[in-house]
Amino acid sequence: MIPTLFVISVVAFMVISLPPGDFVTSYVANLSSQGESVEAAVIEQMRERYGLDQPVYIQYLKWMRNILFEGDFGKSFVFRRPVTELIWQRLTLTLVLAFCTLVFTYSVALPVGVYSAAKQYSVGDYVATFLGFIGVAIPQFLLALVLMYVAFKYFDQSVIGLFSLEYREAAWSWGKVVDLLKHLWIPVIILGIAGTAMLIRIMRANLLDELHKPYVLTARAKGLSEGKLLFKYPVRVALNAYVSTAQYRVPEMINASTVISVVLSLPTTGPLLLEALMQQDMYLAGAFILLLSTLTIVGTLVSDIALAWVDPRIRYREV
Amino acid sequence: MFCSKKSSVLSRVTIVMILVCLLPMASVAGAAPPAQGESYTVQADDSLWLVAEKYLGNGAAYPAVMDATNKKAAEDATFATIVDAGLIQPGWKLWIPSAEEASAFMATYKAYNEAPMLAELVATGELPPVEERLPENPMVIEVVDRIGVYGGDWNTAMQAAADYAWVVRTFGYEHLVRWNPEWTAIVPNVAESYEINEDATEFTFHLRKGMKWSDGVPFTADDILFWYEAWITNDELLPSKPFWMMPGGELGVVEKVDDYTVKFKFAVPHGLFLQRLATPDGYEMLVMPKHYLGQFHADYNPEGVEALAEEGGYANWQEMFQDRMVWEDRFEDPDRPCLYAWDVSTSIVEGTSLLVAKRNPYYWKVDPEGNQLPYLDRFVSVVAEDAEGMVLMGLNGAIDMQDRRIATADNKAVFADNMEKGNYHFFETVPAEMNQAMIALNLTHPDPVKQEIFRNKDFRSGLSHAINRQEIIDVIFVGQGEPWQGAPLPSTAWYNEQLAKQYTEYDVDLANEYLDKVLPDKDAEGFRLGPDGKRFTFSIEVCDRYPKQVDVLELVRLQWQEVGIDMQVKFEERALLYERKDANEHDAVVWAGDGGGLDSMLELRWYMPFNNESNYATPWGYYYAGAVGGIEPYPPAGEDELEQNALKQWELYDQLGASSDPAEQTELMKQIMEIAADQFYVIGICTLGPGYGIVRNDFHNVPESMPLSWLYPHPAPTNPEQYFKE
Repeated sequence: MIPTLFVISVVAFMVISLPPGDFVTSYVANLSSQGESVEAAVIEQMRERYGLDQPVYIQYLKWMRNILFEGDFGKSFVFRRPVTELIWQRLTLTLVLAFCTLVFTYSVALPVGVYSAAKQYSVGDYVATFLGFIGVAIPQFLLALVLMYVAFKYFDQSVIGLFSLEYREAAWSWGKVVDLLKHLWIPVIILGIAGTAMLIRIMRANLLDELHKPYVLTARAKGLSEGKLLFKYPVRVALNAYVSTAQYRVPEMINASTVISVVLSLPTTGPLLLEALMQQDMYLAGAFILLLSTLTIVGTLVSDIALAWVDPRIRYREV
Repeated sequence: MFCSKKSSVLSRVTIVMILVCLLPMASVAGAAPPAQGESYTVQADDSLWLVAEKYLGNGAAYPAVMDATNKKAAEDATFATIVDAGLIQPGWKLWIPSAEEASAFMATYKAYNEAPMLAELVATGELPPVEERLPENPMVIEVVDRIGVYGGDWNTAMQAAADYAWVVRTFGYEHLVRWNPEWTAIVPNVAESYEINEDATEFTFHLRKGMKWSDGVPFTADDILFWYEAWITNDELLPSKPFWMMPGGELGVVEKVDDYTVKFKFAVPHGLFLQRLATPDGYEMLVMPKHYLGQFHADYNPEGVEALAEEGGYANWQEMFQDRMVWEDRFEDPDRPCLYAWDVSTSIVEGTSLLVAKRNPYYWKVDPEGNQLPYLDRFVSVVAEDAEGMVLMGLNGAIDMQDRRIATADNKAVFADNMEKGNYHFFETVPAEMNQAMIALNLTHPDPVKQEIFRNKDFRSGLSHAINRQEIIDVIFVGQGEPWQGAPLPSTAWYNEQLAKQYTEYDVDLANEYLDKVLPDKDAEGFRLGPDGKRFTFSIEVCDRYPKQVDVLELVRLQWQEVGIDMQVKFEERALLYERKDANEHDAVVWAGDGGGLDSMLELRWYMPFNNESNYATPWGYYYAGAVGGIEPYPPAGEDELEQNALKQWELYDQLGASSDPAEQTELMKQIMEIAADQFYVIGICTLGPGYGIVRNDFHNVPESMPLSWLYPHPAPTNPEQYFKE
């Protein structure tokens, strides 16, 4: 795990340094495009101050040293605040969003998937399949834009952000939680819909494979009730694929939520990462990528453990 | 409903008119004024106003009666003490002052009003009274339509975090001097007056006595001196100085004459100093509260500074102080006192996706009736990640007044459709930008062959004649705009028709005639051949953020094919484009035509090699701006006519900077424009149509039209502190 992370950190830093120019270039270009100007002397000074006049490997080594020995991820150029502070602010909401989406996805996909496999070619199966394909096919940002338009046109509501204006500054309270939930369902649905549709299809396909295996036949011959039979054996086997893909869910969701968050102006990590990359805010972007990679690796570990717990076959093979 | 609203407006106007009529009489004695002053006993149904009217001939002079009575009461307990002018009891003994006393009192008397939220704080003793908070001579702001009422938020939106230009444009524009709302002149602001010596080397500014920072600490000459001593002259913190403090290459000197007078002295005449101060460049010396920022500077807080730096995670105090001096810090640190109408209380970096600024109780401006400004309680800006979200807010009526980011030409139709629903209307913005797209061929191209061809004026003239500008205007800019080269707009005194209009006529034959003089041979496909016998090809680089410019170039590419020119459009990311043109690696670049209004005296990038944005000669531009670019900057060698003329223009502009006489400055600008017209450095397409912004129907005192520019950071010069909601 540690070597993987190290390699990732090197690659991440290199990728961030690859585009032409640096933070100062993009800062100046940004101001210029707004019709503002910066003096060239100031530019030189900025570059010196941020250490951008040094070679990339020196910048990397300095960054790494500070992380390892001081737990200091550096400062954001754009915000002039410690990177960790900025990330923590947004990480909580991102995780809340990811968790809600996960719960939504699984709690919808599992029953619907099982249903449409068990009642293959029924009306319910066709409806679920139809909706599933639509869900996979529609790009999320488009869904977000359409929902925004509908909310504006018919409900006189602008659905951007995660809080109403009056709650943004307020401390956490019951009212704020309710307000959050009021706003949260839209991104949860948008983010969850593709994943849900996909999981329904996976569940259905896996379960259909299992349903025709001899052990099901045996169980049925032994007089087990259909419901008990279904959930005790084939569903458990079919869950395998479910769990093993779970590792991708968290980073995937954080990635996907970038586009949605930009469209809906959600205060999650996605837009901040995007902003950091566009402005070439190296330490902020680097810390983000490092964090996301760590999440993926931890996710893999957790899902491996879960898989071993769900599926005894894997456990035995490893011993 | 509508009628009643109208009548209430009418009655308000009537009251105002009556008051205005009365005011001149305030110090004039009435029909039967007492010669020496006399006592008077209050009758039933009396009021101070009636008493003053009866004895002084003017009800508005009642504060004189109140003051005189209270003074008498201090000596003679039989007189009443009046606390509330609206509450007097029958039987109270008043003292009517003589006409002279009354008029003398009224001449100095100023009744200031304040927002209810501040009056409450005064009542509980948390704030001193408004008279003590205002300077002796507050700045009086003319209202656009009418006197406003207090209260309400100004709701706006900004895109992503780094959009502080919008804050500068709304309330971050309090400089020593400022542009007047019409953008025709410079008027005093923080300085109540100023003097310039004859040769424009000394500028004396008189500050407002009793003016205070937003935390109540007096603002004096020491704060400006703090900026100069702690920052400007500190070579360690600021190795290179702002160019507008360095006319003739020598740093100006700032002196404190007394607590309320500062003097700027320069070695050579600095004719454009006041103009510079009126642009957004002039903010810095007025955001330096010594009592607050001093703690971050070793000269002012030698014991505590290192501990503060460590706490803030800085390597040393210098880094910390430099961080405080970044231009956005004033909007990010809620503790930092300011001179603005609204003081930031919730900053964006706190992760709320919101910027909130609250009424500054010490704001030093009043309306003509003595109401302390601003009218609006708060400035609130929602941080949206995407412009579309901001547009939706506007359509929903969630934005009170704004044009930035949302008021694009493409959005105009959708904004127009939803006017009723969103309860807003449009105001007009008049762009100071003079061109949609400036095609700048690189006249300092490193390849000598290309350089020679690009420098040939016939080549550029031919290309210009080959552009069908009307087609571009109709297809891309929905008919808005006029064919235009890179020239200041007719509203400027140095407008040059030749520069604006030459070679704009669409004429393929003429274009071919010009081009034949430069590249007569063509290949089988009809494309012109270079001197080496191969097809002459060049590319124009365009930034991917400006799709309109890409569209323009696509049309131009097709139109140039007709005359045998093979041009390629190169679409690239902004940072890459800057990197390439800074390194002088580009064939040609297209960019918008900044600097067409009054700002063209300060921003001449399209009229002479002026700075790194003079895309047709970036090394020269860098050299003239005294800056360091991607390559070593160099001046024109003076070898050909083009180079000699560029040098001549530099000379003229240096003279302009050394002059303090506006007539002479105008004359010099005219000469510079004449040379620009002869040289024809760069090819323009067309002017911009008028822009627009949205303002809610219940949001008032926004002018119907205002200039649009960065150097006139609209709408700030139109005094947003007098905007109000009703």
